[in-house]
Parts: sequence; C-alpha cells; structure tokens
Amino acid sequence: MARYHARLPDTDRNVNVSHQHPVAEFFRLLAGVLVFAIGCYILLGILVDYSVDRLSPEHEASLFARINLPIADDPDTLPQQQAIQALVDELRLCVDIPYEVTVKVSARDDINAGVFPGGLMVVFSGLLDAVKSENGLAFVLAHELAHLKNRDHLRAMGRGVVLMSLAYGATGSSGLANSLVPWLSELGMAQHSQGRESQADALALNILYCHYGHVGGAGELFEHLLSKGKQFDFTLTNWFHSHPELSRRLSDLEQSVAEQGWPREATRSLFY
Amino acid sequence: MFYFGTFLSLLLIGFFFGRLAESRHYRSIAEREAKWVSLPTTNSRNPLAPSEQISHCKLATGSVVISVDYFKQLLAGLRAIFGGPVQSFETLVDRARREALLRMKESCPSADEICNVRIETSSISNNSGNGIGSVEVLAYGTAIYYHK
Repeated sequence: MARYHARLPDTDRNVNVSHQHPVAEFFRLLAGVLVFAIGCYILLGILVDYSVDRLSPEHEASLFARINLPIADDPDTLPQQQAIQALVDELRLCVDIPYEVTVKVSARDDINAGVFPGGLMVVFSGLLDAVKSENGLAFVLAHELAHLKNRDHLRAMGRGVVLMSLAYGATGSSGLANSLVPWLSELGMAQHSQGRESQADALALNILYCHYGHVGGAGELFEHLLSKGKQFDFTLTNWFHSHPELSRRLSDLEQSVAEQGWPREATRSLFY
Repeated sequence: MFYFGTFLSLLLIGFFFGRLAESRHYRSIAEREAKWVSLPTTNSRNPLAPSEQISHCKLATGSVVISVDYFKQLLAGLRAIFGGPVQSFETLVDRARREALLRMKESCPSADEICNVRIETSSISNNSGNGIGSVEVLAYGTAIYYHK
C-alpha cells in the first residue's frame, strides 16, 4: 500500500507558469512585429519604385484605360473644361508625357485637382474659383502633370497596397486591421509623399517657365490659401500630412526661383 | 484615431482588471487549498486504504469556466506569429485546473478520500474561431466514504 502525503503546491514558485512579466513580453513581441513590418515596407517600397521606373508610359496608358470609369461631361462646366484641356495640352509639350491627358471638371467646392493612372486629370470647380490668373492655374495643372511624369500616382498606389497587406497580415482580417489601415497608410505614406510633392513643385516651376518664359503667379494658390488661414503651423501634425506645409512650399518655390534666376512678369487673366 | 483609442482602452482595462482578478483568484485558491489539503485526492484506481470497509461512494465533480481578457488575447495573437510558450494562457489554465479540483473537493466535504481523479479541459470560443474565448475545466473522481 502506497503512503499518501498531503502536500500543498509550491506557493513561492509555481512550476506551471512562466515567470516573465507580461508587459515586458508584450513590448518585446510588439517590437519584433514592428521591426519586421517596417523592414518589409522599406524593402517593398524600393521594389515599388524599381518596378514603377520600368513600367513604360504606353503600358500604363493601356493598362489603366480599361479601369478608369468614364466620367460624364457636365454641361455647365464643359466650356471651362475644353479651355483647360487646351491649356493642359500646351503644358504637356513642356514635360514630355507620351500619353493623352484627359481633363474633367467636377463641380465641387474642393480647392484641389488630382491625377489618376492612365492620364485622367480631375479639376474641381473650387480650384477654378480660387485662382486669380491663368499662370496661377497653369502652375497647379503643371504640378499635377509633374506627378504624372514622376509616376507618383503609381508609387502611392503601390505603397498603399503594401501597407494594407502588412496590416492585414499582422492582425488578420479583423475589425482592428480595418481601423488601423487608414491611420497607418497616412503615416507611412506621408513622409514619402512630402518628398514627392516638393519634387512635383520644382518640376511644375520648370514647366511654367518653359511655357510662359517667366514664373509670375507660381505661388498664387498657396498665398491665397495662407491668407485664408488654412495653414496649421503645428510641426507635429505636419508629420502626417501628405503635402508639406504651405509656407514651406512657398519658401521652397522662392528659393528655386532665386537659384535659377527666373524672372517674374505680369500674369495673364483667366480665360473663363 | 477613435478606433485606436478604443483599442487602447480595451487593452488597458483588460490588463489591469485581468491582473487584479488573477491575483485575487490565486489568493482564494491558496487559502482553500490549505483548508482542503487534509482530504486525500489521488488519481490512482484503488482507494488508499483497501482493507477498510467502504460505506458508500459517489461521483464527485467540480467545474469552472474562466475567460481570457483582451490583453491576454492580444499577447497570444502576437505569440502565434513567433511561436513559443504562450505565457498569458499558462496562468489561466493553471488557475482553472486548481479551481476545478477545489470545487470537486468542496462538492463532497465529508468524504474520506477521492480517488481516480481525471481532469478535462475544453475551450469555448465566443468569436467564430478568433482565438479562445474561455476555457472550461472539469475535474471528476470517485468520493469514498468509509465505515466509521
């Protein structure tokens, strides 16, 4: 017969559990995941840039022509649209984009314009009301053409896909991933995007000089937005913005003009 | 930012209240184990004193369901990427096992011994396969009463 000994489990050292502090473990694992994700993002970012540089514009045009939904022409803005199309066609000669750029005017108050892969440029009527001269408008259109030339829209799309994949891979297709993705995309793309925006500004200045022979009216829209108090000068939030802050863009423009020695002359009035 | 704030709050609540519940539970377990140590509990198939006359015996069971908290679940999720011991679940299962054994003892307070003790664990998921929701432990054995 076996002897039975009543015994309490060891209270000082429980052998059935690990004795690491859970918070320390949490941060260690989180650090591991972040390092891996950032490493992946940087690597894939390089890959995105590599492939974008090798995608020929003709290829891009045929690829996206099928995807781009045709936007119907708005009869109210059609005359403006045709005039702006003519301007864009002239500006295009200065920047060597080998495919057609189609301009559509959208009747919205946003002071903005955008380009999509394949050569679609959308201009919002809010922008048309905000600029004061043809040169000012031409600078904004040239800026968008510069994005097309630098293939920035493709880079942004590629990086966006990479970020989404990383977020879903780490968290699984849970609601958490859905809510984190826009936040991560903004953060991840902001710094990269600010660099591209500065480059687009510089190239736009070149295009303006090439077309008009001077750079008068280049910073018009920025000055207009600044005067309306649309500038938030908190350097922390600036980290998240996809564009550099307005005053910085203006000073960069001034610097480029000074370096190149380009003249500023009188601007042409708007044609619409 | 709103969703991130919600996530962070859930994480902090899970962590603090989870730790609180765990330490309170462990204190209760230690106290009751000391109280019930005199009731022999083995998993051998034979009673400890086979020469004694057995008056009657019955099935004794004790079960408990303990849930994970948000912090534990997140930690387990991160572990699932790298592998290794899932420490956050270790304490959960340990507590549940000891609690189930104690409840089994408490279900037959005047028994002389409990033999042939078995322990069974199952997981109850509340989300559709999105990690363990709660763990249920059942301890069962034969409670033996000798003739006095």
